[in-house]
Amino acid sequence: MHLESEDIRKVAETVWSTMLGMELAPVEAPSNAKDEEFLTACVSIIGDWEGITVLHCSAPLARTAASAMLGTEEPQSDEVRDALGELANMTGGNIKPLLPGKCELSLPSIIEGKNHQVTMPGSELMNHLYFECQGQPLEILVFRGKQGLSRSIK
Amino acid sequence: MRILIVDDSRAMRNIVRRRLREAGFGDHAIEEAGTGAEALTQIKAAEPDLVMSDFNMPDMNGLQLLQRLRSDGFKTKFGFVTSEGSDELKNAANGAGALFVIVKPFTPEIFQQVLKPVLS
Repeated sequence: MHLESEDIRKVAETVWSTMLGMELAPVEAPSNAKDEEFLTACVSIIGDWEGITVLHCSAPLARTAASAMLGTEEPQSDEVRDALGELANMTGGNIKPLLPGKCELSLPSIIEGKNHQVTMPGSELMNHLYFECQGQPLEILVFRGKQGLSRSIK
Repeated sequence: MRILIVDDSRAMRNIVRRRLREAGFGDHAIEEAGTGAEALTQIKAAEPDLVMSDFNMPDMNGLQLLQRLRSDGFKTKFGFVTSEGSDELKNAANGAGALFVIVKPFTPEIFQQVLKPVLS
């Protein structure tokens, strides 16, 4: 089952513009420098198709998104994690109809820090999209698991 | 009317509240619950006119909340606001007595269209 990156791009752009009023600009390559703080939100899709949708977002962009969602100028750390988790939830939820069979979404997991990666052992990276939003980087990744789901943080 | 928003995400509860205002329903009294269990307690204490619930929540999901309300004799108007837009969920929601399923992301226009007959 092949997911078109164009379909994922449309999902991401619709979620961010509709819910946050923020525009995503697709870019060719990651613009983030090392040692910058990022937040990563993961939502598993489980069922006839199994995989993970990942949002990897710079901390400043995550704070801006949280501010837009909550209507506050300086969101707290837990609010930023909550907001990014919801964005991952909506992204995964709108990717799910593109997949075959019956699937369910997990609750989001959030990782934050510098220079971390999310990998899914025994899986295939199907899609990797790069965006910029208000000059900050956002990446969206879709992994397909071969059998069961497991993930590790490096 | 009193509307109860149920979602484990405070950010999402805020967006639902804002969309209700943007759709012209800002005059209604809006309450919030962060879990299905919390919502159940609030509803039993003071039944709202409408519950707008997320589906996927820890411990008690939105469908379980609706089923529990119905089994306890509550006929509260109930609808889902969820990222889960599958036909399976919609069928289960309708079968359990939900009036609507609004799929995220949503605009004020969608809220207007879906909620006007419910809140009139």
